[in-house]
Amino acid sequence: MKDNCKPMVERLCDALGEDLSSPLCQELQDHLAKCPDCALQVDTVRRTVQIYQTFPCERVPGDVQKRLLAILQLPLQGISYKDEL
Amino acid sequence: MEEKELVRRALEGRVEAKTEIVRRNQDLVYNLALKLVSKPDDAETVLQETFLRVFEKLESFRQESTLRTWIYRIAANSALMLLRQRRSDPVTIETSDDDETLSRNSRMLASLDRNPLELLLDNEFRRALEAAMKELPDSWRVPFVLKDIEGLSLQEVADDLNTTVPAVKAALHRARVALRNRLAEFIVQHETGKSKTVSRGEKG
Repeated sequence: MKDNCKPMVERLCDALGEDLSSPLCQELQDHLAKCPDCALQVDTVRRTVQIYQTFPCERVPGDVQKRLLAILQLPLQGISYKDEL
Repeated sequence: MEEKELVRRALEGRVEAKTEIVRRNQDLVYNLALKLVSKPDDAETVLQETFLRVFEKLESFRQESTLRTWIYRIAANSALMLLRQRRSDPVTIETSDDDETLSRNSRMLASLDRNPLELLLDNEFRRALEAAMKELPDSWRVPFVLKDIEGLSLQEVADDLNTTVPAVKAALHRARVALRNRLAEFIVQHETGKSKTVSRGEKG
């Protein structure tokens, strides 16, 4: 198994509600160690999830914010992005 | 200003305290909504519904969690309510792993290893990431967002969606594989396009 597969196997087992030492996890690890196709599956899915986790946050667009404050009957001034910098 | 004081002042109806609560939490709510409901118009509805409920229920906020966590749960519930009202038709998405998919995945991995930053900074790649998420049926996307992006436990996701842990696991698996396949497709097309451009350039 590749070095970076082990954390994924741990997460897989965790997601399955298994201990790392459980027979199911052991079986998974044994299989990944000798099956490049499955290791590729695990690795690419892990990388996909990581990419989505690093996806940048969006700021609320100005017009959306104006409408929000109007509905809440709050004044537009007092909300400034400069405050957050 | 401390949170407790902020809540107390907001409960007194003080405008600046309410505004401050919105300011501190609006991006959190909007981003969660965008991921869960996909469409910007729907995300705006969730944003508005959330803060209307926040101020309506503020009196019941017991400060057992942070205000941010409390608002986050209201936002998640607002988004889920909206999705329930607008149940989308199930769509077919490729989650198979045939030889062609395996070969694409292999190229995807190689590309991510070679130039991860270049890809993440690429606007086209970011648009592809967003598009892939939007393509997912709600029943796959929501568990993926709540579990993999927002970090809720399987049990919490199952409770929120009024379903079982095995059902959440199945939806998660489908979402992950579908997203991975779409990204692999994009990366391979992107690289093929680039290499064509380069070789044309070399010839010219």
